[in-house]
Formats: sequence, C-alpha cells, structure tokens
Amino acid sequence: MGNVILHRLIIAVFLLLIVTLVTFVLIQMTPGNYFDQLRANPRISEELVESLEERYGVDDPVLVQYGRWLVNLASGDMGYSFGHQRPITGLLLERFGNTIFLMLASLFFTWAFALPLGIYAAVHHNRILDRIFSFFAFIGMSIPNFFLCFLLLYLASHFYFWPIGGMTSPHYAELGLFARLADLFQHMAIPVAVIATGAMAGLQRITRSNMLEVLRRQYILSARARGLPENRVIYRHALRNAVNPLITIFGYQFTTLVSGAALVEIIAGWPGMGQLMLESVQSRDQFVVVGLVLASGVLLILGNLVADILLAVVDPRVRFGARENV
Amino acid sequence: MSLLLSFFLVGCAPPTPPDNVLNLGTISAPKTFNPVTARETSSTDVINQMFVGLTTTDGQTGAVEPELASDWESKEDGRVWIFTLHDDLRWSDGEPLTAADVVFTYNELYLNFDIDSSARHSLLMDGEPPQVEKVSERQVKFTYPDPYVPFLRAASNPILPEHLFADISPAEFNYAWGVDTSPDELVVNGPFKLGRYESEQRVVLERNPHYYKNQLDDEQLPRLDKLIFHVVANTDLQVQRFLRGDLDAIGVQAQLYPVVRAGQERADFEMHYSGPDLGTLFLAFNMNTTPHPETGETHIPEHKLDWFNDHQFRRAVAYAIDRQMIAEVVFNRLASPAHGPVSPANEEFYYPGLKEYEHDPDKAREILEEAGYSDRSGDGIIQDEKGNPVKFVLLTNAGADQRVATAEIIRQDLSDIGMDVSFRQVEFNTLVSQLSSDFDWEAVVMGFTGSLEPHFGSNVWLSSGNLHMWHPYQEEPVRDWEREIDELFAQGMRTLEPERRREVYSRWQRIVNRELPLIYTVTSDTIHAVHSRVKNAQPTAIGGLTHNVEYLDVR
Amino acid sequence: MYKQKLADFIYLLKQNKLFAAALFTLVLLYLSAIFAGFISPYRYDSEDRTKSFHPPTPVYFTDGEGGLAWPYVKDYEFEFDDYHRRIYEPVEGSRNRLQLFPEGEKYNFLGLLETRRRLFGVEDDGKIYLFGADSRGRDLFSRIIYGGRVSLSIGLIGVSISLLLGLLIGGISGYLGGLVDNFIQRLIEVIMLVPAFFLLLALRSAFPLDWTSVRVYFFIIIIMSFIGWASLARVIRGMVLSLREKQFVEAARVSGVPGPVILIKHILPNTASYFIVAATVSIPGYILGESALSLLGLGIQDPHASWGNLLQDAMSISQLQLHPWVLLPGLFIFLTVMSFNLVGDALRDILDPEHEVSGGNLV
Repeated sequence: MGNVILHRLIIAVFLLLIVTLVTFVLIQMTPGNYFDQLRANPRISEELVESLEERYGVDDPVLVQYGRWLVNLASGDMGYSFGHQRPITGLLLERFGNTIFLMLASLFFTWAFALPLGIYAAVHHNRILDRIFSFFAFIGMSIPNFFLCFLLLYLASHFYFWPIGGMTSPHYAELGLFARLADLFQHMAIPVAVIATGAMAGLQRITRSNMLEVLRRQYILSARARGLPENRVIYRHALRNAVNPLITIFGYQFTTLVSGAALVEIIAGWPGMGQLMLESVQSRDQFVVVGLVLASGVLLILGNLVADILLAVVDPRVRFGARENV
Repeated sequence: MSLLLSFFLVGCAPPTPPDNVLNLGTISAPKTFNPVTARETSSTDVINQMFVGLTTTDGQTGAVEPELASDWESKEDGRVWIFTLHDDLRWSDGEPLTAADVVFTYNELYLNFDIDSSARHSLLMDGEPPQVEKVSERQVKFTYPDPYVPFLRAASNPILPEHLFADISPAEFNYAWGVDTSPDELVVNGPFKLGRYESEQRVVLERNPHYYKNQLDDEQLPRLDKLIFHVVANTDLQVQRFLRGDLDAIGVQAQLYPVVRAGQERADFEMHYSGPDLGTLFLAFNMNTTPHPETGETHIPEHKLDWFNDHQFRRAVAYAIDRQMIAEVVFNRLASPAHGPVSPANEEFYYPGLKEYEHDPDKAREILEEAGYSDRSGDGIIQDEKGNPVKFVLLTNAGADQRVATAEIIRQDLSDIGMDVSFRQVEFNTLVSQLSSDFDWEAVVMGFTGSLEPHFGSNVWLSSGNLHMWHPYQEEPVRDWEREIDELFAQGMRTLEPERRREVYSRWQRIVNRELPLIYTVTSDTIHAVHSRVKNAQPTAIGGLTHNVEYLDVR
Repeated sequence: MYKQKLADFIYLLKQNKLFAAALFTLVLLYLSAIFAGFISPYRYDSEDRTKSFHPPTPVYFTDGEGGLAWPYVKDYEFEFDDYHRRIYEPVEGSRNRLQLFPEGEKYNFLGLLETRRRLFGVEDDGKIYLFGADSRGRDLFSRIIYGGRVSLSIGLIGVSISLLLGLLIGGISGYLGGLVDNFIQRLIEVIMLVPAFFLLLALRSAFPLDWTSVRVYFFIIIIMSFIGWASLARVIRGMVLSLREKQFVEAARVSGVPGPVILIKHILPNTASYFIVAATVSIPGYILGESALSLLGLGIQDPHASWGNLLQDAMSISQLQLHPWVLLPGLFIFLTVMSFNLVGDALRDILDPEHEVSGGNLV
C-alpha cells in the first residue's frame, strides 16, 4: 500500500506542475496585468507603474516567470500578492482556514442530518415520511446555491438582529470565548445552511439507497428469519454495513464542496478562498491565482487519497488503488 | 441543536461598546501602513488618520490650511516655498519632529526614484524635483527651477520619522511598514496611532497622546479614544451593518439611499447632504490616430476614427444623452447633470458658465444629418458618407453598478439616434490596459474621483499624458485645442495669483465643454448617514466624514 | 429492447406523477423559450424608463362593483416619496383591457417570418408587467422568457458537446489502452484537479473584448464543455474496458472488423443507456454554470437576457428589500434544475439502474 501511495503522490506532483503551468499561461493570455489598474489613477506616474512591472517581471515570457516561481516555491516562497501587498503563504493560510472552517461546519450539519434521515427513510421505505424526505431531498438538491443564499439573505435582512456578511461583529475582540463562538456561528449560519442543504440532500439519498440495498441482503433476511428483534437487525447489522462505505464519500465531498462554496462565499461575504479567487482573477493578482489553484489541487489530491485509503481500510475486498472508475 | 440555539441567543444581545469609539466601514482592508508606498484609498484612508503633512485641506472650504507647518511663505512667484513648523512637535514615541524629518521624508523617500512613491508625480515640476533644504530646526525651504503653485497642495504628503528610516535601503523601505507591522514600530504624528490590526477584518486606531493639537488646544485631542475601521466587503453590506448599529457612519450611494432612509424609522441617525460629489462620470471615444509602431496601421478602423474625431459627431452624442434620466434611473434623482471636467463641489475652480447640452434627440439627429450621417439603407442604422454603418462597442468595467447602469442608458440613447452600439462590461484591469497600452477600444464610460487641484489631472489633460485617454502619448499635440490646453496647464501651474489662475482653468473647462473629448454625464450627490450618538459630525463632499476627526465625539 | 423501454416509459409517466409533472414543466419551458417572441408581450430590450422598478401589475377580473369584467390592468405612475423610493399608485379610472393576439413590437417567428402578433398584450398605451420591471422599466416576464433561450439551450448544447467528447475520448482511451490511455487519463486528471469554478473564472477572463453576445454565448458553452467532458470520459472508459472483453466484441474482432468500427458499432451503443441518464442529470450543471458567470457579470451581457444576468439585480440585498421580484429568475432556474433532476432520476430507474450517476455540478 505504501508503494501505491508513493506512486500516486509522484503522479500528483506532475499533475500539479502541469496545472500550475496552464494557469500561468492562462493568466498571461489575458490582456492586462495587475499594475495596469494603477494607470487609471491620474496622480500615479507611468514611470512608477513601469518600475513595478519590471520589479515583479510580470511582462517576462511565461516560461521565465514560471521557472522563477518554481524556484521560489522550492524554497517555500509562494510569491507575493500585489493586491494585498504581502507574501502569499500567510494570505492563503488565512483564507484557507476560513474556508475549511466553513466546510467543516457545513459537513457536520450535512452528516448530522442526512444520516438519520436517510436511514429512517430506508427503514420506512415508501411510507409517507420517506416520500416527504425524498421530495425535500430533491428540492434541496435542485435549489441553486446562489438562489437559496439570496433568499436567506433577504429574510435575514428583515430581521435586524441577524448579522449579514463578514465573519465577526465589530466588538468581536472584546468578547469572551463563549460569546466569540456564538458570534462566529451567527455569521456562519447563512452560508453553512446554504452549503449544507445541497450536500445534505445528496447524502440522504445515497444513505437511503445504500441502506435499502443492505436490507435486501441475505444475511439480514436470515437474521430476521432467526427471529432477532427488528431494531437489533437494523441498527446492529444493517447500519454498519450501510454506513461504512459512506465514509469514503467524506473525502470527495470535502473537495467538491470547496469549489461549490466559492459562489456562496462571494454572495454571503465570507472571506474565504472563493472571494479571494474572484478578486485576484479579476485584478490579475497572478501569484495568488496560481497559489490558490495549487493549494486547492493539493487539497483535492489529499482528499481523494484519504478517501481511497479509507475505502481500502473499511472494505478489505477493495484492493487499494483499484478504485478507478467513479 | 438546542445548544447551538442557545449560542445564537447569547450572541443576539451585543454588549454596549465602550464610550468614545467611532466605528467606520471600509470596502477592503488596508494593504500597507506605509504612507509613501500606499497606492489605494483602502490604505490611505487609514494612514491619513495616523499621519499628517505640512499642509492640509479644509474639509469645508477646500482651502489649504496649516498642519504641521504653522505658516509658510512663497517667494519668486511660487518658485521657492518656505515652511515653518510648529513648536515642539513630537512623534508618537516621544522623539522630536523637526525640519530634518521633513527634509529626509522628501529627499530620501518621496523624491527617491528607487522608492515606489505614488506622490512623487505631483511633486515634480515638468519632471524636475524641488531642492529641499533645512533652513533651521523649524524651517524647510523648497526650491523649484520654475514657479510651481500646485506644490502647496502636494505639501500635504505625510511626514515620516527619520530616526527610524535613516539607514534603510530603498528596496527595504518599499516593503517597510506592511500591515503586519507591530504597533510600537509604527511611529506616527497624526491624531491616531495603530492599536492593532486584525487581519482583513478591522484596524483599531488609538489616540496618539503626542498629537500636536493636544498642545495647541486646551482640551485633549482627538476626543475619541478609538477609531475602528471595519472591513465590510461591499457598500450594500455596509448599509445593512449600519442599520444594525455596527457602524456609526457611512457614505450613502444614491441607489442605496431609499433603503438607508427608510431605516430611519427603526434606528436613530441623521442624513447629511453635502451637495455634489468631487467625482466625474463621462463617455469617451477613441480618437487615437497615431499608427501602431510596427504594423503602421491605426489601432481601430480609420473610418471609425473619422467619426470619433468629428466634432459634430461628438456634439450630437452630447445632445443625445438623457442626463436627467440617468440622474433619475441610476441615482434615484440624487444627482445633477454635468457638462465639464470640474465638479461644482470644487468651488475654487468650478466654472459655472458652461454650455449645457440638454437632452434633444431631434437636434442630435439634425446635427448628424448635416454632418453627413444618415440612414441611407433604411435599416434604422445611420451611415457615414462612405456608407459605413455607425456601429461600435461601448465598454465599462464590470462590477461598477453606477457606471454599468449609466452605460446601458447611454447605449439606448445612442441607438435612438440611429447608432448601432453594443455594450460590454470588462474587468477593470483589462479595460485600463485597453486604454493605456492596446488602444483598440472604441468607446468607454469611465469616471475619476476628482481632486481639488486641476493640475493633478495633468496626466489626463496634457496631450502627452498616459491618461489622455482619447489619444494618449502624443509627441506633439495633434489638435489645436489640445495644444491650447497644454499651454493652459503649463501656465496654470506657474500662476500664483488666485484670480488669474482661476481664469486659466476656466478657459480649459470651456474648451473641454466645447470640444467634448470627454462627454460628461452627471455628478452624484454626497450623502452621509451618521448615527446620532456621533457628535460634531459635519461630513462634506471634499473631506468626507473624517476631515474633523479630532473633534468627533461618540456619546 | 427499445420497445420495452418505451412501454416502461409510458408506464412510468402514468405511475410517477412527479415525473410527469417535471417532464411537462420542461416541455413548457422549452416551448416558451422557442416561441419567446410570441409569448412575451414585449421585446427583451424594450424599455420604458418612466416605469423603473414597476411592481408586478395585478390583473383585475371584476369591474369594481361586484360584477365580472373582461380582465384588465390599471395604469401606474410613480412619485418619489420622502425616502426617494418610487411609490407606484394606480391612475384613477384607468382601465386597459387585456388583449389576445394583439399587434406588438416586431419579432422574428422561428426565423421564418417577421410578425407583430403576440400572445397577449394590453390595449391602448397600457403596460402589463406580470413579474414587475427592472431598473429601466423592462418587463421582467418578457426578459425571463427570452432569457430562457440562453439558459435552457446552453444546457442542451453544452451537454451534447461534452458527451460527444466524453464518448469519443473515453471510448478511444478504453479501447486502445496503453500509452494513449495513460495520456488521456492524466489529461482528465489535470482538468478534474482544478476546482471547476476557478477554472471557469480563469478561462472566462481570457476573453477577447470585441466579441458579440452570440460569440460570448458559444464561448461559454465551449469552456463549460471543456470542463465537463472529463468526468464523462472516465466512466465511458471504464465501461468500454469491460465491454472490450465481452464475447460479441471478441467475435467481431476475430472476424476481422476494423477497430474503429468495432468501437463505434459494437461497443459505444452499449453505453447508450448510461449516456441518456448522464446527459439528463448533467444539464443542470451547465445551466448553473452559465448563471453563476452571468451573475458575476462575466457571462451574457445586457441588453441580452439570461436567467443568470437577470439575477444580477438580486446581488444587492438592498435592491432585494425594495424590489423582491428581481428574485423571480432564480425561481425559473430552480424549477428547471429540479425538473431535470426528477426526469433523470426516473430515467435511471428504467434505463440504467446499476450506475449511480451524478451531474458533477460546476457550481
């Protein structure tokens, strides 16, 4: 297994090299560079803009820039953000932290609701509640994130006490630990609700179908035939087998959510990666863009790898690395 | 779940903030605390509360007022400027602030070509720096090769402490005083010093006990204990935060005005109207006839250049734009038509006698007809005399709501007089690179924030300027009126006598108004909403809310 | 086999009311997009600036004295109140009756003939704003119907291109194996490695400026298909890998049928079921992708409408508070996505129960 992981990591490094190179090329293809916007300020001279362009080499050939970036990367320097006027590593860590915080909270709610609902629906297959859950799962799956976000913001703006936008209140620093958490949770509520709704619906459906499948299996039927109490059959035997494979979903979900949450972050004003990406793509803050692509690529690779390892651990029948066609 | 619910309930009752703290919003976090290298308002808004210069601008009248300098005199028609500092000025770390600091700041920082100083441009006179000398401990002399009157306003640039930077290399200085600077190292001379910076969230400023007005007045200044800038990502959210009471004051954009105003039913605040804004919003056409150095062809098709260079064409456009409608639809009637490059807010230089281009599509059509543009093919689109349909692309930058909405209305107005205009939003950087290096745009809706000193717009108005959008970087002025403007600007910066200076720039405004290289649309009103607990708030179009920050008081 | 599936389909239609309703909704939406000129009372760009943010017009069915009347609407005029809000009040005594098939603005009927006939309108100079108006007094209802053309077609075309690419590349990859397969797999991984939304943003900002709306439209489709084909190709490859070993393929190969023919004639048709389901559930991803881009001002540009760029007005909470009807385009996106999901779900039950297919949303 160690070998396989190593092999995968080597491939991953190559992939990341290609992806970052492509990103560089894309940025260079787009007209204008970051410093162009300074030219629109009547009080800033052309000569200053040119000296900045030269210093950061934004007009050098793509490959030269890319090579320079790689060399710096090797020494742990991800580059400099023109827009934020600070090294990128710190900036990314900050934004990544915010996004991951949001993700973890969303995932917590997703799983806390989706699992019980999915199991309940499967056990009470085709009864009225199952139908209702399924219907709501469909609505949750289908409602566009951005639309739900608009709706919730609209509602929240009617209730004055509910904070909108940002991460914390003005008096955050003066609060005690408990109140700080409360403040954070309040600010997170809307984006979390939006992200969790979509993810929850999908997970509920998968849980339900997994559980249904397990319930049809031979050993459950025989357990029932042996006269074991129904509760015990369901929660001891069936549940474990139905839920175990779901653990792998966790890894994939995490990574897809990062991408899916970007727009929600932008709309709800959450200072995460999505906002940073939009802002830096628009302002041509090139090292931030490349840094974000690199970082989210690493996140994706790690997420998938962890998911695969989990799968191999959970289900010994699966040979590690064989999970090709998902 | 119930645990979470209790979290929320606890969070619902914010504790009352301690006395004498003013909470303001800012669209984005400051990028640096370095007054010399700061380039954008998010940084300078904060920096200006911590650093002051020799002179300042009176927030009410716009006149130049003393700051660190108690007074000054000009000699030789404005070629030589001598500033006298107040007695016993001190930095926030207790060190004395003397003429040496001033000389250092100008010679080694602002005028040093190895340093990314955004203020340098306004200090140079035709590219020539002044000679800066220390006369005495309290006196500094600036000598230009020729009279340079705008210097008085440029002298408001913040002064920095020599004792911290005396030995620093320019390369190091360019990165000095970033946002991660510890508060002790940021030695200031303004009303506030840095308390703490919560990354991308807020900047907390605290009273600077060594602020010079503290010694001048009987009372302790500034009155505020703290001034906090909160990063709130857009104006819309700022309004929501203000209505919730998180922010004490906001500038209100016209399109958000009704929401803020309606909020008065629930929250205790006042609306302050301070008349027209300093900024401008205009339509420009590409008149750049200089051929591309390599291909030898013009950047856009020649027949289009012919239209855009046709004075009658631009006149027709000026008549076609329904400025009243822009004011009403885009600005909720909180704007007024504009016809020249200087906003009425600039009382010193605004020339009130400009020709007003009333909305008159019939007249516009008539002008076009006479100039040879008419719909010969009957498809509803006018053609020039060679039969080319008048068709072009109008650009503006995405995300700027007011510009986008204004451009949409202009597009419709122009199609009403038979032009085939398509409108496109472009990212700001792309737009600027089109304007300043690719030159292949056709028409654009843009705006400038405006400044009180017309000379600081010379990048725009000089025919050699890089922001002379319609035809930048001209070696020799191509058009007669451009030559005339060049001469006026050269004259304006050398004219000390205010009345004569005013006359020079009035002539410039009349030329622009007649020749229409930029076709102005509307000037929006400046409105601030300020919570009633803030005392002494007198927001103005020129100085905003913080021009008298040292006297603001929150009870 | 296909006859059987058809029978299943009809049975399903009768059995599953939700499926039937979803299918009906889709048909209705697509028809309204095709006949947008006819159904909408106004052109997408016809504006009346004196009716800025006109609220939805109520339609009256009674004459005010308790009796029934032919449906009519009233004229509304606004005044700025003290808050500079536009307060629309009905004009006393105004009564504009609804008309069926009136003559309105000229439009092109299916690209065949120019006509002025529209489904409904209001007599005289009256205006009807079923869903209210935007800042420049353009009818939101008409704009939503026209916007459907962009939003709905982008899904179909985008998916077709992605599927074609996915089928071809996935098929080749699976059939040839070896170096080609390895190369294609890495390529797919590269594309899947970048978060889709980021890729979308980066690609979109590489646009040249002087493009017409039509070209922007096609470019959006192309970049979304470029991102979308990867995951499809993966699954197709997997299916081809296992089909390649099947007896009938072996038989074809032994009897000397050339490789490409085997791939196209014998292998790929067997992925058809998966294909149809995957197509259906992928469409929402494209619709949402376009919406997101346009929402951020990077997609379809005014005056052309798409559901995404119509929602741009909703980006401002304050606008929402003043004019909640700007949210309506979102409802249409929601309805469409939901219908596609319902239909896809039902199709999976009859066509391809083994594969759990997910749409792989871009946003």
